[in-house]
Amino acid sequence: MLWLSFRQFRSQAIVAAAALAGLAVVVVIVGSQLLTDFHSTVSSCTGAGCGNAANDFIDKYALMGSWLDALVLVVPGLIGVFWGAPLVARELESGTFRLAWTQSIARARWTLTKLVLLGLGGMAVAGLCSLMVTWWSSPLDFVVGAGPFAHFDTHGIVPVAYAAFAFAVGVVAGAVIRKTVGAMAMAIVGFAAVRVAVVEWVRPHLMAPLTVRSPFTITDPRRVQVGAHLPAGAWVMNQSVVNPAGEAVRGGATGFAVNPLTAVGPGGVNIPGVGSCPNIKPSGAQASTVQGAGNLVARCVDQLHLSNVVTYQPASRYWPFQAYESLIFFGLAIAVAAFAVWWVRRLN
Amino acid sequence: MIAFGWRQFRGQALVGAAGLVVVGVVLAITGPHLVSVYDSAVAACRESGGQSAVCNSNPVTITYRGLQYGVIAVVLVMPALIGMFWGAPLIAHELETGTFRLAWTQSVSRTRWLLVKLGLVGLASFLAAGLLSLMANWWGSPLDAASPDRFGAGNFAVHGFVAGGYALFAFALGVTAGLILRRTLPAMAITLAGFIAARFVVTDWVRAHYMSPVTFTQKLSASNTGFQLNGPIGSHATASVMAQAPGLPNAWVYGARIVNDAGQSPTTAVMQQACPNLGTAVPPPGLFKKGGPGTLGSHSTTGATGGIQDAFTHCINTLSANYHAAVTYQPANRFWTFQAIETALFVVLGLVLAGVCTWWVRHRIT
Repeated sequence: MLWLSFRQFRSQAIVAAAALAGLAVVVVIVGSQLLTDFHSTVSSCTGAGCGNAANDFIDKYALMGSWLDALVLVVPGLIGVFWGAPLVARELESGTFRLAWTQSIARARWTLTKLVLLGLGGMAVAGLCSLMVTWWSSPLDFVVGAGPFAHFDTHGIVPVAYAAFAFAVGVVAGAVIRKTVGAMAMAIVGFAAVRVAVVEWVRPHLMAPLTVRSPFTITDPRRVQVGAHLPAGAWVMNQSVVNPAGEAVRGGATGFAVNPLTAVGPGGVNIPGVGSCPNIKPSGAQASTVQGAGNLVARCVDQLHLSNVVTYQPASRYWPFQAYESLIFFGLAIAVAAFAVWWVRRLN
Repeated sequence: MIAFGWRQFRGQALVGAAGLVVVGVVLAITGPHLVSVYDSAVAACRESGGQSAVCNSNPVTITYRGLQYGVIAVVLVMPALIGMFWGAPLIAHELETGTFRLAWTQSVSRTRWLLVKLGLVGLASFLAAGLLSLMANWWGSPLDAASPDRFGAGNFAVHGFVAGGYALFAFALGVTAGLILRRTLPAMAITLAGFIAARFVVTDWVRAHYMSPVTFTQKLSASNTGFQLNGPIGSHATASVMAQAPGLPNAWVYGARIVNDAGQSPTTAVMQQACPNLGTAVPPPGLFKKGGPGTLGSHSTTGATGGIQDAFTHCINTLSANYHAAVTYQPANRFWTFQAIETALFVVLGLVLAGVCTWWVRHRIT
């Protein structure tokens, strides 16, 4: 049975192996160049030109990095479409199931063997892709400094779990629809829908985010904005400016707009939607210049005791998040695969 | 024959139309909110006299970044899906199942049969991708206004009508692969790989040469130049200066170089003469650190003096007597010309493939 599975799967395995080998050649050649550049221009840089050296390094490799990221993003989908969907559908479509399922091996065992064998193969392919791309881009990620969550879907172990799930979805689509091409389309749609749903609605809630609260101060009286001090590489989920009662004030995530000339009047300073300071009254021509009125607005903002509140996931949670999301997709894959075995058993 | 072609294509057409409707509904629901977020930020900027934080970065880009990536991904993937699911099975399915024997012994000649199918589904491919691209452009117009870069390597493919050209090419590639390989599944895989390869080659190697770029010269000043030091700072570092391209909205900037009237960059000898102190002064903290938080923060922050800034200003002033910055770019108003050229390129490639199909059907299949 193992031998038969391999024989039927041979051409797809050869295509995948050739693609992996091609990817490995590209990754090693460009990657060694990237490492050389990193050590000779960026990591050894100590002078004032470091900013430019880092920018040049990013400019040189960012496009290649996004192509590789896109590749890892689609590999699980391809495994589901080209390995999963035809697995049962092709036998049903061409009628060979009549022969295959009347042999000494029970059809549940036939399905299970194929599922496990090809599923493990697909996971290995996705894992190798992720490993190569993660290795290739690690110096680039370090220089860009966007944190590990920026490449969550294409680095680490989650691509392996995505591949397992996509493969199982493909098999089920093939068994249910019984047509290869239709099952392939269905597999893409199903896999993409679940992936998007998990990214949008599940991943942010895997762990309760941390909150950092820092006093909202004004560095330049004409520019009311502030950046919260975040630990490096955090995944920022939400930012707001809140008053002491805990309510978010009008305006954007990191600040709000004020026109000093209209905010300051004889009745004190009033910042619409934020708060007012009746005790800060302009004297003389103070209210008529941007500079003078701006200083009053700055005093008022200090007096309102606003805070900048940021909720985030720290970079140290990267691997727990990877583990949780992998478990979710492995669990889904096993459930879908079990359904596939059950469905094939009762097909007639 | 047209009615028959439509009957065979109906199922796939319905799936494609349903996909377009789903995307269209999502875009139509969220689109007005994008406009209102963008407009209120613009109003807040105006109210603050141009001083607000939202003047520099409109919040719409952050709020809708996730959905924007999704929309871009759909527009980029759509032509490949059309090639795989509309193109590859078109003939391969008939060959695989043997139905071509029936189809080709009817009153309609097999050339005509092929041309009707190619024309019908090819036109549908062009229209579907074009319509999707049009919807995405309408939806993303506030995002484009907030960060004008439609000539950028990633943005070019999802703006304008070039997606229609990609789709037509991918479709023809799928039909050709299916006809030659006679099997649907391998044809789909070849279509995907071939389409990605063609897009990669054109994007990275061909597009930049459609028209020769425009160059304009800029007088050197400390604000539009930077410099890089190699070697031990404070003693004998070698300095090189570089120009920084100005922000040109929607233009495609190839690069900026420092050259003299003869087009030569300053040599090491020129640099040493014009900038004798640049390599020996100690840089002040944060100078030219423009790479954002991720830039390696290894600038010398202890014992900083203004010395290197003075040395740099002196250097640039001396160099500017004979040298200037040459900025090479494609102006923003060439966008539609580039779109037309790239669309034409892919349409012609698609027509060539269609010709190959016709020849193959007439001469190679019996």
